[in-house]
Amino acid sequence: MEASMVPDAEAEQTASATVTALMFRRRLLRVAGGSLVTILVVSALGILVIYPLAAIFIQSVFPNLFALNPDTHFSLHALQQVFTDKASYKSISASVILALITSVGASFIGVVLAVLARRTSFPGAKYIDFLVWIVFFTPSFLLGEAWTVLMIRDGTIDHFIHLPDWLINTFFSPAGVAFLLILKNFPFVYLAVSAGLVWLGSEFEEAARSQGASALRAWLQINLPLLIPAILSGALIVFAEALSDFGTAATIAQNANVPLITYQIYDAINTFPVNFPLAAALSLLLFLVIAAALLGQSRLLRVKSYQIISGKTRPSVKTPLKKWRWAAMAFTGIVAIFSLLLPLSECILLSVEHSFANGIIPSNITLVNYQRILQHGSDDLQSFGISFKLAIAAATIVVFSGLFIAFLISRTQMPGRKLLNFTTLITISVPGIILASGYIFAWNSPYLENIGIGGRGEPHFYGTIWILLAAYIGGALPYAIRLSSGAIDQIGESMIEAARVQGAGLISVVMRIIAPIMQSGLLNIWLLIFTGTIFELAASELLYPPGQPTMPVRITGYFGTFRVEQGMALAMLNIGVVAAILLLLRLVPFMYQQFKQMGAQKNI
Amino acid sequence: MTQEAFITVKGLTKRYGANFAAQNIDFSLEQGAFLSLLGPSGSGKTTVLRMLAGLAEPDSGHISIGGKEIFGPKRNTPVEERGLGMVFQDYALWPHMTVAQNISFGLRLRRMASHDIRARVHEMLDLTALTGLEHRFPFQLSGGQQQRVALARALSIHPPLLLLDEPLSSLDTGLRETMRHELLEIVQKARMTVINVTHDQNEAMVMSDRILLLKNGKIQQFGPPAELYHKPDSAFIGAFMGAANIISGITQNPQSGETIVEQNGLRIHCLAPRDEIIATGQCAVLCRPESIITSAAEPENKENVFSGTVHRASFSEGRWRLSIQTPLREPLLADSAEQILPGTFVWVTLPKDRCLLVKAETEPALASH
Repeated sequence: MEASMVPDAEAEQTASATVTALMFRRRLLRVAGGSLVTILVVSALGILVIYPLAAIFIQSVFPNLFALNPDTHFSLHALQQVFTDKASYKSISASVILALITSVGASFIGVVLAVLARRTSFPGAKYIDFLVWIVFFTPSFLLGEAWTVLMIRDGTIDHFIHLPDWLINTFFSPAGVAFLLILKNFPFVYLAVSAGLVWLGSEFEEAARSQGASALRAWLQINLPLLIPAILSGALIVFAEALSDFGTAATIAQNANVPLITYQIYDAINTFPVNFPLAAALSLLLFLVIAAALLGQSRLLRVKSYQIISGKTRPSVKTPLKKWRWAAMAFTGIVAIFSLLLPLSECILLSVEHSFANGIIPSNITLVNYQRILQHGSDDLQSFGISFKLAIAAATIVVFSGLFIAFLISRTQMPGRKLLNFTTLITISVPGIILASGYIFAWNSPYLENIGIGGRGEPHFYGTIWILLAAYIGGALPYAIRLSSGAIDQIGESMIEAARVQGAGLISVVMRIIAPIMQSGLLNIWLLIFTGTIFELAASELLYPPGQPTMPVRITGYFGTFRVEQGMALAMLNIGVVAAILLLLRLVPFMYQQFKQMGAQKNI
Repeated sequence: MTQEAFITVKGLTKRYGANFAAQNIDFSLEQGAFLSLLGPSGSGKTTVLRMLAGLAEPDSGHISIGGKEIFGPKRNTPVEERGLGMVFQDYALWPHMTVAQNISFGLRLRRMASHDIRARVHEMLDLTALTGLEHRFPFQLSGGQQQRVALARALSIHPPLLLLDEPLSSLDTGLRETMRHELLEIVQKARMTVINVTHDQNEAMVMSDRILLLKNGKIQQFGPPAELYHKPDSAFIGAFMGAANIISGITQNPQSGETIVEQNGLRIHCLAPRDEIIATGQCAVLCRPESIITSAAEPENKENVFSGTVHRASFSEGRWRLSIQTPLREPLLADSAEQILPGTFVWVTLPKDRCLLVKAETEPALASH
């Protein structure tokens, strides 16, 4: 008896030992996996965003620290130069004044369109959203170039009606630059006010009406004051965006001889004699102004949340416009024409012309620009491939790292998460030009050879395609984190706790619960970053590896060498591909959902 | 408890700033028992449950389940390794997964073979009467069905202990009654040890083998439902467990057995259940409305008899509940099968063996149900 029991007991012991070992391995995998992901994503933020920004600060006060023979000489000279060098302070004051004017103008258009779209009905009102999103996605260098060719002497319009000198002169002046910045940036105010209007029920307005106020008076005295935080928040984003804009600065502002700070930074780095400390000082200043604007904006949003949300808001009513409908249609139409229809038709027209100077005549119409691009092995196709791959890689990496960081910030007790949160807040829209200049200071420094990067026979980072990918990721990551945080906040804590009770660790919770629930939001973030990256100009200009320009670099290269038509053809192809991808990725999941629901219906 | 303790909790303490969410919680529970953590909101009952689950970290104390320590000075098994089942107040069903996917989530995490998973899911569907609904999404289910899915999901991973966080509170009254019984039947069939959080004393009494009553993070009383109802340690417990008359007074010479409590010269004979409960001085007499006898004629026995006037009568659950003004300070609640109109003169008898001497502390808001 005893002898036969021993093997049984032994077998049981081995079995339980195996189970214990398995449990241990599972635990090790889970804990190690979780910590690895945490370290990976947080250090990505550190290396790709914080280190380059710190390098800007260091470069501006320690001019020789990143030099060939580094020393720790401290100097405020570069920062002084910003205010004493005429070109520098003129560019700063021009940029700030233009950004302020842009905020005011964009707020006006954004508020009017948002109120029209959310609270009134008239023929065409439902297309406003569509218009806004296309303008939002259209790169500013295209708008700038299209308007330039529209308005110059012997340009497209000048061929038909002779433009008076004063009009051309006014257009190619700060006024014209402001005009374009307003038309490009009003979507930010539109989106902020639309969101505010969702929370603002009709009852405040109705209460005012019941007290005897007219509709207009109710709007001006009740709703408008309630919307002010939303308007200001949108206006601050516009201010920051207008300051960071490089596409306008590099196109129409150049033609108008209006030096803007972003172009000044580009110039200090890219034009001989290079002045890294000055570029750094300008970048630092710009960064501080933008960070202050964004901090103000996040404050405003916090205030808004307890001002308007009463918890009892009913969905608002849309007022059908009667005699005012012509005014509404005219306003919407003019915005649509100037911000989108006119410049976009100009782009398409240019892409099928031999030379815009010949005007719109049959012999000038051609498809040769497209043929040249689509020739097998053309440089244009190569650029297209580079941008396409980089945009897909950047968007994919950013969406997932951003999701993990957002989760760590808002749903864990990780030490340092508040600092992480603050970092993403102030770096959310670091202009590409600033980040790229930081990358140059940070990654083109001779000291890196001592730690095995960039020396002879060592792996290179600067001057390769990888630094461009890193800059794209660094530029988009804080943005993706903020967007993901917003979506994660909507997910009930108990959903996550339920998964953890069932045995899920960090990776399982994020990948199996959070990501699938957020899938539509994540897809939107992906598309936003994909589109933003494929049209990214500023960082690309500074960081593209020799001989491998990205598509926006190649397009603006054509613009700069009087081959606008060829550049436009390339841009149109690019826009076509992006539009196709947007449609595909939005439509396919939608149809899949429909099928899935039909299947579920059948099972009932 | 005669059986060996399956769950042991010792000295469990958790502070939020200066406030104790749980202070020195001690209890043990035998396998297969149903325990309810009962208390008003803010009493710490949910905190205790979350500490057991591993979702909140205690400041100090011990927790062990099945002889295995899961929390102690040197150990804090993370929530995902405790392997407990939990049903959340809002069910927390994952909206992107079907019923079957929700139930099998924990099994898939454990890399169970797919045919075993299928078998286990079917077993769970069967147990919770959800067969046929496995391909539906949570939004296509009724509240009661959602609750059963949450229960099936919690049970699927063979947990040694099932934790319920007010799972019935989000259902409407009618459905709550039904689900109460269904839930009990399911956990009894699965022979689960259960710890349930509730603020509903009725639910706790119907469902539990044991009740742990909490207030301000401290245990008030721990025992079977009938004991808390009939032999509460304090006026607070007595009032919390059901409608009760709390008559405050002074006792001169408390001892176990019979004792007299005085209020303004009026004497009430009552029983003191345990010596240690009452100190000399301020105390109270607890007497439930259903124990009080009303009569039109003066009773022969003069002990604990008072004259009074009915000033309110309300009909509920098949009997009349009267509020009677007597020489005593507190109006008395008494149940009557017959309707007695307000203004009627009545004699009120508080049977001595139904009058219990208790500690005086009470919360005014809870004293009358």
